[in-house]
Amino acid sequence: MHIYILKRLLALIPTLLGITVLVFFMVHLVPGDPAQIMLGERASAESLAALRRDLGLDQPLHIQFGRYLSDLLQGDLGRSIKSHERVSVELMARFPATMELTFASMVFACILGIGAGVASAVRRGTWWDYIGMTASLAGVSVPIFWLGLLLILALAVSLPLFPVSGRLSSHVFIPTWTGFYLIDSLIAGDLPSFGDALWHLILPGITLGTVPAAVIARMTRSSLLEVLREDYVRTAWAKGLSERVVILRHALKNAFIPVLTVISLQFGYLLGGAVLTESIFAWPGVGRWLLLSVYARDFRAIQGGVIIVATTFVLINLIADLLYAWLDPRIKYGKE
Amino acid sequence: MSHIQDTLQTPPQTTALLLWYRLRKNRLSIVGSILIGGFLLLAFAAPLIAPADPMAQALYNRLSPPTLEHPFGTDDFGRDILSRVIYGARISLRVGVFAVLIALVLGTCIGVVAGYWGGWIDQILMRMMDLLLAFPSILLAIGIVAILGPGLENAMLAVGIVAMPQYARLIRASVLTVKETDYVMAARALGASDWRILCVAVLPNCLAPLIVQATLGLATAILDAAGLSFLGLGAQPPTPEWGAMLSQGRELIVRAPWVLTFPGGAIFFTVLAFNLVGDGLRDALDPKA
Repeated sequence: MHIYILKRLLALIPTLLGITVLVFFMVHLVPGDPAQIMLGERASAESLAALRRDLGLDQPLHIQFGRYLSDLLQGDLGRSIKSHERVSVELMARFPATMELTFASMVFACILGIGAGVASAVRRGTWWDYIGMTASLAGVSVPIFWLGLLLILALAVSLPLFPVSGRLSSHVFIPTWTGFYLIDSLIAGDLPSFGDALWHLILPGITLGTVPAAVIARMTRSSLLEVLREDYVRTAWAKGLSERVVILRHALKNAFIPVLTVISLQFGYLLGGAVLTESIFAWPGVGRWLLLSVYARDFRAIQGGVIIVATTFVLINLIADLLYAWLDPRIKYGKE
Repeated sequence: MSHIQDTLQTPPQTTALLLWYRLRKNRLSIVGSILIGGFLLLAFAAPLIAPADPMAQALYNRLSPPTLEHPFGTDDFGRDILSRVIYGARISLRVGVFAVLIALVLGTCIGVVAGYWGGWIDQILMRMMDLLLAFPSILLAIGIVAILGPGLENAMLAVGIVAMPQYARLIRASVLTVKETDYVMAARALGASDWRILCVAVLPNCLAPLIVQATLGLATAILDAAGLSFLGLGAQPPTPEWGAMLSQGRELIVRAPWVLTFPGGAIFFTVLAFNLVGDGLRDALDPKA
């Protein structure tokens, strides 16, 4: 297992380097003068020259890349052209908000998706199955930006059950330790604040988690149906074990590996979908910040945001790969 | 009795007929096909069907709720939403088709070269595709639009580039299988050129998975392009594009919910239709079926 982990970690290096190269060239692929585009048509010659110097655009390409890589390795993503703040500081302030939303959506997607998938597979051909699969087909087809607005309309405006936007109510204060409000409020032992943070998470979480829930449901159903036809499941039935034990202990455990693959791939969707969801719910995360940076054509900020999100995605995929190897030893022996 | 007749019925012999035979047994695919047909009709016959000019403003009739005259209501410039949704079908389908074509052409070229010639070309091309897959798709699309600038054409290109690696990997896998078959060996033994082998023997036999991917890809492309327009990075106002219409309607969510209900519904049903047909095609083309 250690060799497998080491191999997977080494395989990360070219991927991360590739991401860095691609993101570095973003500025150079801009048609025209990047400095002019970032500062606008009315920028003075002095400010344009200063920005070119700051971005290193007046240096040869290999020196620019060397500088960029060395800064990156020291955790320096440069300064935002609009706010003049360090990009790394701005990103770290917003990263927990995005991760909290992403994890909340994934919890919702797993509970709903696996539950619906199991119910459909176990009650195959019944109304449960038809309703579950029709809902999952609708789930993969729904534009989340529309779903979010409909949820706001139905559950925040018409029936004011949930807040329309934001992470916390204006009168609530949570001392920041991790930036994850649910965790921070628990650390502070402040249950009303925990409830408020959770209340704000529900609509964005459902919005972002609907598509992954549908995908997980479809995969759980098909994977479980395949396992339910296996001989060892038939043997378990023949032994007179209860339905709960056969499904949960014998079938679902073995059907879980393809489901885990889908769950890890859905993290990529969630990180991307966070841009749309954060924009709808004014959620102060990396996605919304990245979008505002795109509007402002703030390339330093865009580069930083893209690198952080892509690296997070790659690391989550690595964790998923290691989890499969742990769950299914055939994977690591096959590769060693 | 009818079951026995069905079983005894001889399946059609050609691939296209067999596909049709299997597809028409799938009721959901039929529903999807009818929906796609409906949207295509709307797109092609928009000037004949739309009750009003989608750009014509009538400020005296702003934010009118659905009435007989305006079945989907009007927006904040008094424009007829039904007409804009009908014209929007043209734009969304065009964006979807062109984005898939971009992905299909680029992906097929890369996949064929990598799969057929193999070696270091394969390694380089596939590592590049893997790299693109290391980014969440909508994020990569936003990055590309950030470089090229907002606009419908750039959004189309971005969505196409983002989808390209899936086609490249799919076609490469098919080419790797097909190039080892006896008929390709025979063509090579007869002295056929690589180009001829690729066009006559390899590519036609890699079509089945591509058809499924392209149909499902259309759904994703329409959704992603609408998402970019919703964020203000794709189609720009006053273009009657569904995502852009939703974006304009979000401020009116309390006063005029119909402004966002109908364009969103149009996106949902179009994507659903392509997913239904894509699923049906995948089942119909499954050799295990």
